[in-house]
Amino acid sequence: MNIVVASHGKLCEGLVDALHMMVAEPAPIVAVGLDEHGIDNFRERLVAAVEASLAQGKTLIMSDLIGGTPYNESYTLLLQHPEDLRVVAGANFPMLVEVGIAAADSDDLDEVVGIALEAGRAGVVAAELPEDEPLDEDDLF
Amino acid sequence: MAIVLARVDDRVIHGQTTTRWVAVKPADAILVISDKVAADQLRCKVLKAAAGKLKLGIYTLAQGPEALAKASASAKSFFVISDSIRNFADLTKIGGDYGGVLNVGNLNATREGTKNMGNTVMLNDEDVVALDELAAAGVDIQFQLLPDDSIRTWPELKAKYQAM
Repeated sequence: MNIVVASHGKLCEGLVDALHMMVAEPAPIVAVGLDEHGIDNFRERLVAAVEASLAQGKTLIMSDLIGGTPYNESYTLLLQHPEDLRVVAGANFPMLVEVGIAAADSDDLDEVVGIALEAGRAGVVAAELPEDEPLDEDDLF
Repeated sequence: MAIVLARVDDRVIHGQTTTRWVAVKPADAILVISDKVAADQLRCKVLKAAAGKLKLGIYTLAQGPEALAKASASAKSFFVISDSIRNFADLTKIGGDYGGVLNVGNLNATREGTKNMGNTVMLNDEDVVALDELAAAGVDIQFQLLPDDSIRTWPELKAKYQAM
């Protein structure tokens, strides 16, 4: 399936750029950002990207913020294409890496949405200070 | 299973390793063999955190062959990582056995006299000497950053290096 990353500003472009450092051959992916040209311009580009994507196959939109314009415009498209489109919000890098890999080999939208939610949540952590334990070789080998 | 991946990577343990390579070659532990890394306590702590759920052993070059022998005899699966090609050439010379296949991933830290071979591999004349030593020892050298990248061979890259 195909991926459309929709965000405020250039976050979407940055996510796609970073993805290529982690995955050599991800699923087909495009970025559409809301910028100073305003909502009508954004909607036109998003609709064009999603229509082009849907012409090639099933499509997942990864939006950055629930309730934000990229999400809301994506949701409008979801209502028009409930069979072939899914939308997630809260896109982050761990989510995109897993989706980029999974979507390359899958056309199961619900499965890939599940992978997105799991990876997106699991990737949000606070760094913990290390315990000062000596290396236990019996445990290592 | 023993050693499932031996890799040259100057970033040692990072996202590409723990996210991508572990997914295609499941491992229980990572062995880092490098005098430079072993001598740097702060870096050892950072690498331990980077390894996450994987166990981590950090060894000097001299300790390397024994650690590799233990890994080979173990029922667990291991990644062996070092931060230079020279380290693997020396490890091979002193009898370290990591399975005869060497993956080369990131080599793009700033070093003298490097040529950019593409896909985050920068080689210099010292690397070429070390790679020739490894090839002469029968090691199968595979340049491959990510598991879904195609593999480039040493003869292929050597020809490219010499033409640059």
